[in-house]
Amino acid sequence: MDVKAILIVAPPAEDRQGSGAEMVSGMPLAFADVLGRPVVYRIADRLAKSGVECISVISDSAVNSWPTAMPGQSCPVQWVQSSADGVWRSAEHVFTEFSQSGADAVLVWRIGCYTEFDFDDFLQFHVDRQCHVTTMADGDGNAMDICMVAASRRNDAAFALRHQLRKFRGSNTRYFFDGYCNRLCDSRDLRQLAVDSLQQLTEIEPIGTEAKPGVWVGRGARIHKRARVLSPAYIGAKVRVRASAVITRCTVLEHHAVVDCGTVVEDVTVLPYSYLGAGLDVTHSVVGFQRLWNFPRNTEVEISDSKLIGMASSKAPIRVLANAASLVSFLPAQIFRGVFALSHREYAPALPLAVQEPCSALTAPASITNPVPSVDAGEFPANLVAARRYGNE
Amino acid sequence: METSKPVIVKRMPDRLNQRQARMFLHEVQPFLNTDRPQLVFDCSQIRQMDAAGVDMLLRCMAEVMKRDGELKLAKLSPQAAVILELTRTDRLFEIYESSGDAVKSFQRFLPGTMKNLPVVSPILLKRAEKEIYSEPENSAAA
Repeated sequence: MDVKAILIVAPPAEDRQGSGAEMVSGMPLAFADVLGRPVVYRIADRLAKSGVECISVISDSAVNSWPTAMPGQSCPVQWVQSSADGVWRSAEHVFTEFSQSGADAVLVWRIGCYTEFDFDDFLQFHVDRQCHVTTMADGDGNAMDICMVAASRRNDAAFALRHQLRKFRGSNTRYFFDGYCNRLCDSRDLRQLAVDSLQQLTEIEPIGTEAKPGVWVGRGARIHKRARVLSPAYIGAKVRVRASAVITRCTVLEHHAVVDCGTVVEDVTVLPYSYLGAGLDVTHSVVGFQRLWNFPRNTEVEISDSKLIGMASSKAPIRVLANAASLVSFLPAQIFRGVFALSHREYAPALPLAVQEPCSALTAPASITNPVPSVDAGEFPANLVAARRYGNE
Repeated sequence: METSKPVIVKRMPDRLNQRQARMFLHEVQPFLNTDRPQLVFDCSQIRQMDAAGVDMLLRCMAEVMKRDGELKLAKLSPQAAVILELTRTDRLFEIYESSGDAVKSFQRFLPGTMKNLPVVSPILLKRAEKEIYSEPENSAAA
């Protein structure tokens, strides 16, 4: 049976005002990396493994914001760019193309949620019920924006897509799924997905090698020998962890992140290309795009100071140029600082005369003379003091 | 018993970058230079703070301690709290939920003050206990 898939990266139907649901700093959560690979590719990988050969991703995001597969990874999707208002219309066109190319059924999935349903079971359910449209719902009956549409029912598909998978024409059946589902509504859900994956509650596998039990390290990552990484943790490709840094409690450092000296990172997801400054204490957060989402305080903080939290360019030549510039400017800056910087050293005020005089107790009293050490007095000369003795020494 | 010295409450600006921090330091400098200054910084309006802001707070703290005074923070906005936590400076200050509480804390004896101390997380307490008690154990082991 020929099944094709359309993945739609668009805000939910309820979010008409563009309140930024399912986004992190303007980027759809579907594009965010989880343990080394974007969510949208994780979903596509699962579908490809289930036998879906053709997968189209429709997005209204700019082309340069689309996630790229790291070298050596496959990119199993075809991208379709559309305008912000035309995402669902583009989905209709793609559905028509799939229908004309001989597909039997088309899976339409708005990401949306990340879920690990059994594709074969879902398809079998759809075929057995002989419905035009089969929608998926979670255990509580909430829609998951996933449906299987018979490819011959183009009008039904068009109706469903025009109503953003909220209304359906004709007969449709619900398929209830009780397995793993993460709604990916905000950065907290993204963090939860990473934690669940590290704890092996999902089928997401970290991209990299398991350097020690529970610690996964991506290709080209550099961890200083004095840094501590406590499992479970994920260190992505090309990440730099500098001296005395501590990475602990399900921390995930996505690719090209930098953790500077002495920084403690605990229960945090660090998004790609982020820089964490030296000597910080970053806990229970998601960090990226010069922002920090702190969960205990339920607040988002924009940090403009790149000494604290910075962001490197995603383009390699620009990163190389920036590194070269900082290297070249380092020595002149040090010389300039040494010559022109004001000294912050403050000298103590002059001590009063009474204090400057040596204490009388420090001078030896006249009546006591230093005894001359006798050689025959025993093992320890009398004028020696044993400050600390160990065992029988 | 009440202290005779006045407590000065100063509201901090909503942005604490290098320029604003310098201006704020300039404003509070006369209060810092008094004998045993008693200061409360109201941080409710802080929306953005960078390393210069934290540095300024530490400088004020150093100046106040040099003159045997006290500097307390009150009504931290979530943003300020996150930045202080991030830079590990939250543990250096006494932090109160409101300026009133901070001012009252100056007017009490030590036992009364202890009751009104900011809530310290149990994790920090445990960490501090470990630091205190681990040294004698280690030296005894040696």
